[in-house]
Amino acid sequence: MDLSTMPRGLRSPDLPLCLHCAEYIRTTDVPCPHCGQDPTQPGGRYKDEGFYARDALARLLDAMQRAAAAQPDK
Amino acid sequence: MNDMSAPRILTSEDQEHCVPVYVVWETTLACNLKCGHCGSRAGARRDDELDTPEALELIDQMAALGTREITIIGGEAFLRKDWLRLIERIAGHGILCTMQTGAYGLNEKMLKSALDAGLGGIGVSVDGREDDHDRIRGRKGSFRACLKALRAARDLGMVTSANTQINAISHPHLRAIFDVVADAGISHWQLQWTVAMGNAADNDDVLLQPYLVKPVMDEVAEIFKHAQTIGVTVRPGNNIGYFGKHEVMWRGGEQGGGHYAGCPAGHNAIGIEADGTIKACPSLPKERYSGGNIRDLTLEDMWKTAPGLAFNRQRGTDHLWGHCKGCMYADICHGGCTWTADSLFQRPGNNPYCYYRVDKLEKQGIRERVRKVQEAPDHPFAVGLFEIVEEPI
Repeated sequence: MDLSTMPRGLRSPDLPLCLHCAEYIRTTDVPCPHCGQDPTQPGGRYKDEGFYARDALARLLDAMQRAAAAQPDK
Repeated sequence: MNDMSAPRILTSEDQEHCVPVYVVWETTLACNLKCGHCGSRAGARRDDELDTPEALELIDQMAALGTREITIIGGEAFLRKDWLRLIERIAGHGILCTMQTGAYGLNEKMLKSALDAGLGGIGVSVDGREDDHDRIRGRKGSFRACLKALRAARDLGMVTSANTQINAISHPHLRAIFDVVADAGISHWQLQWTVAMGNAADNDDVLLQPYLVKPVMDEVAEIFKHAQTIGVTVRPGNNIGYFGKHEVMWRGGEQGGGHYAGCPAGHNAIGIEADGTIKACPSLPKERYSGGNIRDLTLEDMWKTAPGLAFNRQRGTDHLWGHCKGCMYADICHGGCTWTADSLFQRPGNNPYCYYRVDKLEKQGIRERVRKVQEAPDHPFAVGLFEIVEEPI
């Protein structure tokens, strides 16, 4: 399939999470419109319900994959 | 190959080049059930359903456009005599073939044949406790047939899921329904709201009132957490909306996407009627959402040029109205499921079945109900007309 001949569509933007209440916000939202806290500071439900740990693990796995991909062929 | 969810995860390339990743195909309108909420009013087969050569050719065309998963539905897909040939052709292209079924009359021998043909998984509709399910499906014994088919499929090593419509009948019993289908060995439980289409528009007392979305989804969140402990994934369907505190749990992270990203109809999804009508979504009415018929045009031509398929691809916020207009998620969500809104109001862009909206209105002391003001005509995928009634809590 030649993608260049396909119709064009818009890609949906990814919204960040408030690192306090774990609800989706706009990148410009300070404070969080849902919980009123600083959305860049981990705390509240984001930490208590395991989202912090899960995201940290995802970032670690991503970094490991990128590092592995950057290695010369063995 | 047997992962039922992976093929549907959209890449940026899929979205930017409108790859029709997922197809839901009503291969026949023939059905052995008479469901009180059936949107397509299935029962008798259509007069002019595609024959086997036409159906096989259509599969080849889907493969050429980059489709990665095809779900065959009905009516009841296995009532087509050539259903195994269709599965075989789909699987032969390396496309995941799944089947959505009411499972009445689906026995172990048929499942084994389907598995051998390449069926990657089945989803069985379970819409209530036994009495409720049998009543709404119009067949005594249909509930037990569901569980028997799920267990047989599991024993054959197939990926199995149960699909449950949340409505006025089922919502008080969701945990009990989950426990039964989980015990039958499912890996996924998919949920969707019953939509005001076809028989469900006639029997509108079955519809969940929008103000109940929040307590119901709060309960589903608890079931979700329990399901994780026993290895079952609870998956919100496209019309289970949107955002709010549970969004990160069921659509974020391990669920594959980040959050709800708008209706994929006609952008990355295709619906097909048994007579070869190509639509943006299997549940949308052909009057407003058809790209034409495969007997007249190629799938590629329709996909690339038909306005009836293209409405979601460059969608902004101009079509939004009601409380969806002005919502902080308007440019992401676009009013949610086109089918749900269009079935209520004969136009998209205002969707009262939204968690974020219900929660926000509740904080303002307001709740919404829907009320029928016009009956639906007597044909498949027919819609009536509803209005929203706002009232103080």
